[in-house]
Amino acid sequence: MRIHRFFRPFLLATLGALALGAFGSPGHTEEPYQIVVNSANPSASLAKERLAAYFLKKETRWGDGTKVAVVDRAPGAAVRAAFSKSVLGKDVAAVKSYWQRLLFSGKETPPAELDTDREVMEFVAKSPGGIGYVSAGTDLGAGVKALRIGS
Amino acid sequence: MWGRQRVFALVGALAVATGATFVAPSLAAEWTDKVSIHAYGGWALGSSDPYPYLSGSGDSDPEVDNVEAVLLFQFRPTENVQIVLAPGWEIAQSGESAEQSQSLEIASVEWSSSEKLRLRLGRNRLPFGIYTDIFDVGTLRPLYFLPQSIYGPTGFVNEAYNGAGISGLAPFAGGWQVDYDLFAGGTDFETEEIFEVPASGSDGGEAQSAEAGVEKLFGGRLTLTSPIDGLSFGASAFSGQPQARGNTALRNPSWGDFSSYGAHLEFLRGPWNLRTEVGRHYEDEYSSKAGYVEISRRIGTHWQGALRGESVRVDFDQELPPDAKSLLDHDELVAGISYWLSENLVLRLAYHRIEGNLFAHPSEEELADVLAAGKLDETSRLITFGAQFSF
Repeated sequence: MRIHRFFRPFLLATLGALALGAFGSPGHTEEPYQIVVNSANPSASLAKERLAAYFLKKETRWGDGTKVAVVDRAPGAAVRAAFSKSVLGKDVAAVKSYWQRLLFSGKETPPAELDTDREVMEFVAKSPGGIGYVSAGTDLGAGVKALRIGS
Repeated sequence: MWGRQRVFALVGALAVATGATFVAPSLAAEWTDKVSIHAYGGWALGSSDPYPYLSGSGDSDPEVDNVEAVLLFQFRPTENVQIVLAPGWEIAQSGESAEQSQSLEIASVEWSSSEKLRLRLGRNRLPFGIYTDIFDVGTLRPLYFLPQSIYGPTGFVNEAYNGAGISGLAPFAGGWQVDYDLFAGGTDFETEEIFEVPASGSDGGEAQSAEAGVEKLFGGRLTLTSPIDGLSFGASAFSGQPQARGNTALRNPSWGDFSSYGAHLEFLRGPWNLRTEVGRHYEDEYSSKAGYVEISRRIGTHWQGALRGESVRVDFDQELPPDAKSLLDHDELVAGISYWLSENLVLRLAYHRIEGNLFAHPSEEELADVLAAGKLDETSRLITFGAQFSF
């Protein structure tokens, strides 16, 4: 029937989208950053919400009680813009305002801001509870490992 | 008049602001994980007509004696303990003259078991509404001056209290988060009670614009952050016992004679910021209700436009002469534009139009004569230009 022919492309597109939704996963999406933690950290993955809580210091302990030591990239870095938008749900300026508010009210200090991926990895390698992010594809040095973002 | 002292003040303020921009990154260095040093402040030029208000002295000549700087030292000797010291320096226009003062903004020791519970002892920020945590941090607001309806000399807030407090946050299902503050102690509230001049028949003096000492102060604030990105709202309240004042009817004050209640809402989404607060304040002889709405938008990287409307109404126990009733009111519209040189330094220009004489009025010494002559002007204007920084 003519009507079937008319709707067929839409039907196929809808089925295709559903299939992608069912079998694809956010974890397969290529993000321009990768999360790094100290290699002694027993965690293999972390939900995005928990990740945001750590980076905004709303949660400050790993599951085993180790103090979380967060490190950020400097505000101008492209990887920071991507990470802030994707994980924290805010642009870098909004994140800076968030930290300024806590800092100047005497409540909390922002994470250290480092200029390069290498410095981030060195920081994380030295801190048992260290967590940071580096550009996707960066070769991870000794003492750090990648953490998968779970759902 | 542009006297020598004012020129020095202007040059000094510009030097501080400019220097802050260039040396900020190195000064703000986190020397170790345990110590950090930061600062914030600003300078404003003001011209008001016909009455003094904020940075304007009321004679139309530009006033430059408005400078403020605060240093913030944070020490973290152990994982769970934090010590904060914040000394501040200020030169501020006070009516037709300028006054210089030093203050201790924060001096507190904090112990935290987790983000859910923090205990503070000492001199802490008084938690009320939106801006008290960041009272003088100009880089966290869209206009140079805070809304005077809530943050002016109305008795709603003070920059700090002396005592003990607990605070914390807790996430809940569905993306909600609760932030709470509870505190107990005492402080001095600045209050503007110009309406007492015609009521008492006095010729003015310190009694009408003074600090009200409040003891046995208990209060708190609850803020809910919603799952809707950028939307949060909450409520604040405190009550205390004002200290006896020899020259007023308040000779035997009791607990609850000095109280404030307020509600606040913030919606910060992308370049748009919307903030609004309403509140009620009660003292022995009068009460007031106040509120403001403030909206701003960032335009590109550097520019920001802002509009604010606010209002205060005082309900005074005594009857005022008809010509003096505007001393109970304050309505203000502000339009401002900011140019952000960086996220740490901003230049600001604003125009304020004020109706009512609660805050913008002749000096207390002149008020009786102005009222007798029937020449009280209910409309005042203020133009401000300034720079604010933080790092």
